[in-house]
Amino acid sequence: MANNNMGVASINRRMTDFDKAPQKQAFTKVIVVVPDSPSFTLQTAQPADWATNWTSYFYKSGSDYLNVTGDTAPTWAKNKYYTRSEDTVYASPKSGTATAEQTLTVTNPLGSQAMADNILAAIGGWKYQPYTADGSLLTPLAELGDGLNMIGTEPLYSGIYKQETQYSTLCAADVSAPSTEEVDHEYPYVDAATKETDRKFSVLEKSVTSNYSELKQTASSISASVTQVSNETGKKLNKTESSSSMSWNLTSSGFFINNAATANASNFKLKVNSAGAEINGTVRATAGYIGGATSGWLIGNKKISTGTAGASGSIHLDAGGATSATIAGTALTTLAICAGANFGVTKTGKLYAASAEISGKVTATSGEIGGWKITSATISKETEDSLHRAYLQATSSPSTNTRAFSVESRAKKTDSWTSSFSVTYGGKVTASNLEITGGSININGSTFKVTSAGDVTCNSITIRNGSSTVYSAGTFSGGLSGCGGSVSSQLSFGSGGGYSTLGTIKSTLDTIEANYITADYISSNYGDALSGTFGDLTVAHNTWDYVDLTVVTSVNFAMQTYGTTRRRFWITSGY
Amino acid sequence: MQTSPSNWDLISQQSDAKYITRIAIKGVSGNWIYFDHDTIMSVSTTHSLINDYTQPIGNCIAGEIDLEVIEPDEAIPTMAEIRLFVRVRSDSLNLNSGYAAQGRYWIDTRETIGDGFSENRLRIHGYDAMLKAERDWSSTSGITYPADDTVVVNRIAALMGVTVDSRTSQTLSNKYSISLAYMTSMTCREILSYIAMGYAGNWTITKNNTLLLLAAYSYPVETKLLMDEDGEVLEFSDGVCLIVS
Repeated sequence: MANNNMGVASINRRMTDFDKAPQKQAFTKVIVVVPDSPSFTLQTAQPADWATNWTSYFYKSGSDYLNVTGDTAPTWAKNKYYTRSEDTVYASPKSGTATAEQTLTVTNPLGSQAMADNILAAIGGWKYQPYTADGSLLTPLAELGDGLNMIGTEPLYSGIYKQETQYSTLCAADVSAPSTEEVDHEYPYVDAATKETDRKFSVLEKSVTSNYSELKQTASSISASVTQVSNETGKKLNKTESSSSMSWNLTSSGFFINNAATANASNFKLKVNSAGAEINGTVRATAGYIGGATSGWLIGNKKISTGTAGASGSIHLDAGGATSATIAGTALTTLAICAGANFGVTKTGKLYAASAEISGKVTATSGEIGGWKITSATISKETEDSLHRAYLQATSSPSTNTRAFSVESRAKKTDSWTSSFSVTYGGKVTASNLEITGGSININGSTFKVTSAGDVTCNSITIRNGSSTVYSAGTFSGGLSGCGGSVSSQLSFGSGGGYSTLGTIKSTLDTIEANYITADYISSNYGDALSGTFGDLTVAHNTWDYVDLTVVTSVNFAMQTYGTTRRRFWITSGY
Repeated sequence: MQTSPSNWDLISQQSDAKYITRIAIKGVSGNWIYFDHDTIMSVSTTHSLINDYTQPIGNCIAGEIDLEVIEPDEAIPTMAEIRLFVRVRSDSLNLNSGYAAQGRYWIDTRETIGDGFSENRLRIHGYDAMLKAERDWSSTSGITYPADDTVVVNRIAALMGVTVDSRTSQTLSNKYSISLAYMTSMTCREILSYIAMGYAGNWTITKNNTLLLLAAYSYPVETKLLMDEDGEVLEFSDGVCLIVS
């Protein structure tokens, strides 16, 4: 069919890079294939494969074509059985033969016999003339579909099927009627086969969707259909295949795949039912999500995660340790584990946490815990102004003088620390200001003991008067007195327990005063040193008074040789 | 063959006749940005009816344009429309012809090229309206199914934003009937393709942006035209002169 509204352009072959291929033969036959339109052909003679392949034939029941069934081939009957073709084919002319080059075959779902006839009428007799004419000085007014008259030697007449124009002062064009060679075309053209495949897939997809409810209601026919498909495509999955180590079962409770001869719900490897899918065994997933179709746990290469690393609610487990996030204020790039912005572990095992409660063993050789600085041998914490600190030290081989614990201070940050309280490994406690508010102090058992009530128990007391003179062994020269004016205790000295043997109280100072003194012997360096009331005797320096004796002058107590007589005391009478 | 613009034939016969190209691209303002010989680095177009002889009918191949121009001051939006024109000029006559349309295209890809010394250039690749047929059939209102192919073609052309070429209307005479089931399972381009098969033809977008169905053997039957010594067809008032052999 020529379109007389198209024009004819001319070019000079001599001025172009010209080539041509042999003219194609004219089409004498057109075949139109209508895909996915089953047709049935009545068989008038027994097919050769009837005895073995009878189930692939059909018989007519009303307006339906049904598969021949049975365990054996039924007796052949002429004009009863049909073959099925998936496509309907229309040929024009309906009979007669033609070579492949003379036959134009097209696939068209709109196809009909009339279309086949129309195509043949339009294209029949047409001879396609392939050529290329590059650099042609072709008028820009020429269009696709125009005739092209190539003048000069060996003139040629064809159509413009392809036109590539370079717009310049000459407007040279490459025109052609392409042959069968591949054309380098950037346009995303979809060829007929691909379009047909896509269309079939689309039709199948829609068919499956639309027939879902029907399939659901006819479970028995589903089973038969699935068995047939499995026989065709994968006998390993055929549950009737006794040698197979796998089996499957589709029941109302689900679909099961097992590694046993009989599939059931108890020993499945794969179970799919209304609740979802279960896999009993190895699961291999290299991508996708768990816990959602497009969200949830994202599966990656040696990695599983949810959310953006470092974001609230996110968790990343990265075996490669290449996850980046800011954890507890620190930007990290080698995280193996991280949860939100407050917890992370690097691939080398470094833990970052904004808050941690640990029950059990904790090992740390550096860092801080609650502001306590940790080293391999010490743990210490400074006050906020860095002028005071508590310091605990455990060296590998401490001496007795090695400080184990100390409380230290300094006037300014650049000063060295000065200890106000310390304990050495030898047990030495040094304190600049010690106050004990209760309990007791025991030294060497009860050798020296001070109770909270103020009782002191000791074997001996050494009193220093200054640093050079030492009085000891029961001789006191520095003075020992009670406190205040309410001393009610006794001051007793003895050489043994129970004071069975009285000792000596000696004072080189002024006086010994007491409300009550019991002594075997009282001596004084001065004659008037003794005063007080002793029973019925009142002594007032150099005088004493006895209730039954009035001493006028004095009674002298002293060892004295008076003439030839030694006397211990004598009375000087006033008379 | 396009109709000749004013003075085209006269100027084309001059020995100093030369073609002058103009490109118009619609900027973000909605106004056309024009490019002429001083701002056009290169421009070429490609149009095909068939890819190869194995499928001589049922094709819908988009026309393509490649151009390189000096980058304009005004921004060019995504998928901006490009219009290509050409005219012929004779300096000796000091005369220009009218512009002949050379197609409408829409930008698909672009690339800015610059060397830091001269003005940036814009390299553009675009397709004509045929690409707009690569969409699902979605217009069912106002159509009774099964529908005649003419109705379907007119609706698809409207979806593509083009008009059906008057020559197409003369060709579509077989009245193939198309059901809705086919329409919803195909793209508009597939539908056009199957219709074209029924007419042993192929679709193209003309240089005037119309949808044209061309029969495979669309050009006039072979003639033996009388040529002059320059190879030009001798035309007379009543047509060309045929040589009867």
